[in-house]
Amino acid sequence: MSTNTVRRPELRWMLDDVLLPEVRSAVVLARDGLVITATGEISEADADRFAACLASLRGSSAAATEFCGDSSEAQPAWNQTLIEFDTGYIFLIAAGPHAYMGVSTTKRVDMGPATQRFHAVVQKLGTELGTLPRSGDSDRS
Amino acid sequence: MGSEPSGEVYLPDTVRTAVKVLVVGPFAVGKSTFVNTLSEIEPLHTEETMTRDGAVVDDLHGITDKTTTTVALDFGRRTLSDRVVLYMFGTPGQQRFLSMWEDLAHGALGALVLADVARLEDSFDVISVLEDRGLPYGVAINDFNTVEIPPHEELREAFDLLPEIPLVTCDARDRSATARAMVSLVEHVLASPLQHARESA
Repeated sequence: MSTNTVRRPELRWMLDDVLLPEVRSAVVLARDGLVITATGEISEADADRFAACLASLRGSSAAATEFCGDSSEAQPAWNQTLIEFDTGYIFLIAAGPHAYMGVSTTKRVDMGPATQRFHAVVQKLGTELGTLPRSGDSDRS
Repeated sequence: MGSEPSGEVYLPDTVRTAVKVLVVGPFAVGKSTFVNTLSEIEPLHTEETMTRDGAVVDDLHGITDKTTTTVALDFGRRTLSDRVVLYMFGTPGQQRFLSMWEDLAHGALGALVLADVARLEDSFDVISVLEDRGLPYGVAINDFNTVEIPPHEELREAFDLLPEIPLVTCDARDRSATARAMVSLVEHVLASPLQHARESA
């Protein structure tokens, strides 16, 4: 595992809690689209690609808030995005300040308990990620 | 082209600096090609087939063989040295996608602006967005080998570039040329005083 300035592999044990039956993989990413930690059936290169894709998805989702609110109210906050495929689901959930968790599951996942578990994990991650340094700040001379 | 040894696919076990950069520029300038060429991992693309309806809005300026366009992002990774790993985020060129920039630009240390000599003015918009954000940038002229590239002094004048801003010419299909373009940007970013100001902010 590399130790660049964004990755925090020590958080992986926390993320491992999402690995219920029918969960393929999960990635925690910073708002800038770089991987914080990843788990499950995914290579390092694919975790990088998944994270970039999720960051873009989150950007598009946030841009869509404009179309989901009362014009008199403040902009609604984005909480999660769910994508359904023939072959499964991808969940993208806010996990603390400027961090997100993406989870890939098969179609057979038990939605109720799974989403409950995912939200419990982002709660814990959110507390831990409150201390996340801004990416790229700490190791450049 | 292609004579350069291919980069390592797995990151070795040393301390790394992740450098996030944007690859920006107008519609159909070659951003996806650039990321494709330079990435050491299989790049991520979000391309959609262009529709007939879009022809009114997205002017192809005689580029006839383009059938798809990026709608969300291109992503690629490239290890530049033992210490620097580049994460490239290519953004859609059309004005209507600018609202998605907020997230994609987050944490980026710099941007490489691709430009086409046949329509330099199409890159002006994106440059002013970068200047407004205070994001360091470099300009790379994509050399399609079809028209003659004017002297750099003329190009600098057209873009109104400060002397320290790098300007390079490169063929987006050439691996070492794209690497040189990125290196010029990274060197500029690392030398940029703005960067230090933003970090301490």
